[in-house]
Amino acid sequence: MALIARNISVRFGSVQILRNVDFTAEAGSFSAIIGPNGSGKTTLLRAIIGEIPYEGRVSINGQDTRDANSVLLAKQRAVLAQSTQLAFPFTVFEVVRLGLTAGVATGDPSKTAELPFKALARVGLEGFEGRFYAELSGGEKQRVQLARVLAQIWLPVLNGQPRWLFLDEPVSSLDIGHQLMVMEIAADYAKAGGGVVAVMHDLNLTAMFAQNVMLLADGHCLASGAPGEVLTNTTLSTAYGCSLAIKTAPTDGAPWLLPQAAQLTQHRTPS
Amino acid sequence: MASTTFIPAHSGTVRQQGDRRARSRMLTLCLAALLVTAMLLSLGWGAASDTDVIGALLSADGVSVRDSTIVWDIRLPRVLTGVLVGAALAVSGAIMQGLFRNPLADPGLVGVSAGAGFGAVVAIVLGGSAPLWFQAMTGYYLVPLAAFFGGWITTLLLYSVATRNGRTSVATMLLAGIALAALTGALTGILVYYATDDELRDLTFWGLGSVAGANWQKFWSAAPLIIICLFAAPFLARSLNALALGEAAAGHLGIPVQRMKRIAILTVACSVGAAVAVTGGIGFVGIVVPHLLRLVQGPDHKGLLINSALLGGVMLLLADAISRTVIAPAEMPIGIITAIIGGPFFLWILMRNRSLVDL
Amino acid sequence: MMIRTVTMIAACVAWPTISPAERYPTADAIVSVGSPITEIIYALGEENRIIARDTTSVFPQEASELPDVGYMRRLSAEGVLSVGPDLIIARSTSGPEEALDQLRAAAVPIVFVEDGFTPEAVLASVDTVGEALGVEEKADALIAKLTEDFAELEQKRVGGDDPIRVLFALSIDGGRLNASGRGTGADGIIKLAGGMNVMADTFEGYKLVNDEAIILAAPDVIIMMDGRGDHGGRAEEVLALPSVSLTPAGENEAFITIPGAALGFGPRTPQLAGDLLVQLETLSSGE
Repeated sequence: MALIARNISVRFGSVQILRNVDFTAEAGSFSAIIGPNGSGKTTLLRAIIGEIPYEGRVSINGQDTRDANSVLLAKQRAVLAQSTQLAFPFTVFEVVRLGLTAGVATGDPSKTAELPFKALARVGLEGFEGRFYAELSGGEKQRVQLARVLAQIWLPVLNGQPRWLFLDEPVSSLDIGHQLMVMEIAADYAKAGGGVVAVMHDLNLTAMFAQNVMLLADGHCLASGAPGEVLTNTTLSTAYGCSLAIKTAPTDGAPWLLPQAAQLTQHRTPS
Repeated sequence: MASTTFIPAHSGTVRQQGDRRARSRMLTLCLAALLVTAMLLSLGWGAASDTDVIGALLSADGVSVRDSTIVWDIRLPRVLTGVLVGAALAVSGAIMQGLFRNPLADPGLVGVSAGAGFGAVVAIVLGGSAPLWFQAMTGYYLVPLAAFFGGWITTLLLYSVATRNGRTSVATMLLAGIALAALTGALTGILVYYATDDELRDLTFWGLGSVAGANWQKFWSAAPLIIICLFAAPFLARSLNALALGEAAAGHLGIPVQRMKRIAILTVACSVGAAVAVTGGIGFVGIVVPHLLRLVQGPDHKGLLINSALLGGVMLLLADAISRTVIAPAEMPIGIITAIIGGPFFLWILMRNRSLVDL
Repeated sequence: MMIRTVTMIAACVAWPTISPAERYPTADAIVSVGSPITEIIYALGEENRIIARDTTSVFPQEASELPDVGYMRRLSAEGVLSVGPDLIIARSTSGPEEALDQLRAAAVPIVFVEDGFTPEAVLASVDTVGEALGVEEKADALIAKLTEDFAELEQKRVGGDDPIRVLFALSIDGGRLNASGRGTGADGIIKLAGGMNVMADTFEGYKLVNDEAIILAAPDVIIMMDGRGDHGGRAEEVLALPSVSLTPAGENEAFITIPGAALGFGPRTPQLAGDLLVQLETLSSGE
């Protein structure tokens, strides 16, 4: 079971953002889409999840998603945006409960009632249920949104079908501890059989958690494969236009990237 | 590893739990009881304070024609109309606020009030010049009919301006509504120029709103439409809740956003159109009622829509009771009373929520 | 329900729109709608039979102390019923229709009196009201007196072929005058006083006129209602308007005010028209 996107092209007015991009993600693995600003990575995600018009084919679990029933889609996949507005003074619990809008296929109503609480506990916000969403910090808000998304697709695999988690730069507003927490949640979801597709800025986190990476630049794919294959010096410096030193992380052997700022070396001279 | 314990759904206080639905359900019961009480009290209340209401209701012997007429032909249709109009305005206000994701939105944003007002102006000023058979056919329903169709035409116009490729932009609707209001204002000005003194007075009074003209024919023509809309509205609750996260997120949660917007606009246009056609322009109910309820029960639309209908009915009956008695035996147009109460209240909302009002 | 049905049928049978021979000599809880009607009832000496009146009925002073059932085009059915009327006498332009229907359903008879801004209309109103009250003799006496007064007025009017040119302004609105064309009370009283309404040929009703029209019309005098506010100040304001200053009225500072009652045609009309006639004559002789 996979997410298969073929020949995705997106145009805004006269500007071609994406040109015939192919993307595949397997269930049970964490796939990351990386690239410099303006490369089209968020556009690709938005096309895959059907937020913007696109040319090409997208299928999830073997079914074409174009014109698919929105409720059925909602039962299969959930999306965590980069940031979310909230129009009215809902409580944290009420926001997380919104994840259950499309209905939950557990069949057991008492289990459904527990889901918001479970989801909040999962993101480390136990006890926050009665707080007002508007009063939370940016990082807390993002975690509440993640809880909502998790409540929507709590079981990574349902009736033999994997469910999909789409994340658009999910850790931008979080401190380092919570960045790891969120990435671990996503990774666990994938390990349990779900599919995870994330647009990532942070290359080190990508290297740490993703099994499959696609590098976009100028609206087309520059490289794709395992992190070690994609995150190489030449590939990355071409795409990002800066030089990077690539070490190996001592803990797990994953690539470890250090940006090399040209001016910085001058200041480092020990006094 | 994150904890897997959870708090059972029914323990703890509402504040702790964050789930305000039980409070909302309680409120529904209270408001329903309040509405029934208000209706009964309204039947017994009016300029003719010596009316034998109970006798008239039971059609007892010895009830005078006057009392019987007052209860059956004047107060009863008026109370029922007031309830439906109040409910329609309040629910439509709540729906509009959910749709525009702003607590200050008003049913008029959909264009229906401007159009209804313009329809009424046309009927009042040009009605006398219509062919006689037409006048005979419509009788004194010319103005309500014109108001209703006027409301429809403007709503359709705004909707088509704001919708492209099946996507309706509420922001465009808002802006186009401003342009439309300017246009109808100008056209109204032209008609006002040709109006006679009497027509101008009628126009002014129409604009101020009144439940006084409510008789059984008007009630039966507006009621079915309003009742259908009131029953349909709660089905929008789930969608409106999801919409609070933005249209994209609501779509991902399984809401068919464009279809839902169409249904919402349709519901508002029908119910407000029918209400305004019968009573003229009554303001502030659509803003004040949902806001008050949000303060008590939270913004969850599941309870908000039903409670808005109930509280809207109560408020209108209250305003109508004041309008019927404050300068008895004359009547004060109800729009003045809702404005006197609603205007300062609206300012208070604005001052309280300065941070939330960021367009 | 039976009582209602029977009464409904009875009310339908006695459908009083513009109906002949409506006499209610015993009615003594009358609601009077329309200031001319109220004045006529007082002039006939039958005022003790009135129980309430509409907002426009403020003359004489005693009338304004009666309960007020609302503006005559916006009557409240229940409000009217609450005073317990046994007869309503109303100007034909009263409303709204729904309230009138409700009053008919409550079996209250309504007699309508046609509106008009001519002496004939005044006399006809007196006739209708007198008949409704069942006091035809008193009405005839009043009609005779009024006919005499109107005839006297006509005598004084027969003056020259060059009537004084009059512009009547209801109000001044942002530097523009809301003037009277034909078919209004102002037009009527100007004619009765022997003046010529400069705007009568141009339009009907009250309209905001543009400056050039005022200059072209060249009125000799501007008339407004007296009422709220400082008369002296208003005269200044109007005469200072650029359009008016270029007219004979402006050059001669000819500005008079008349009571608002002069615009409603009723029993006082001959007297009020007479007053205006004198004012106009004084002006033209003073030129």
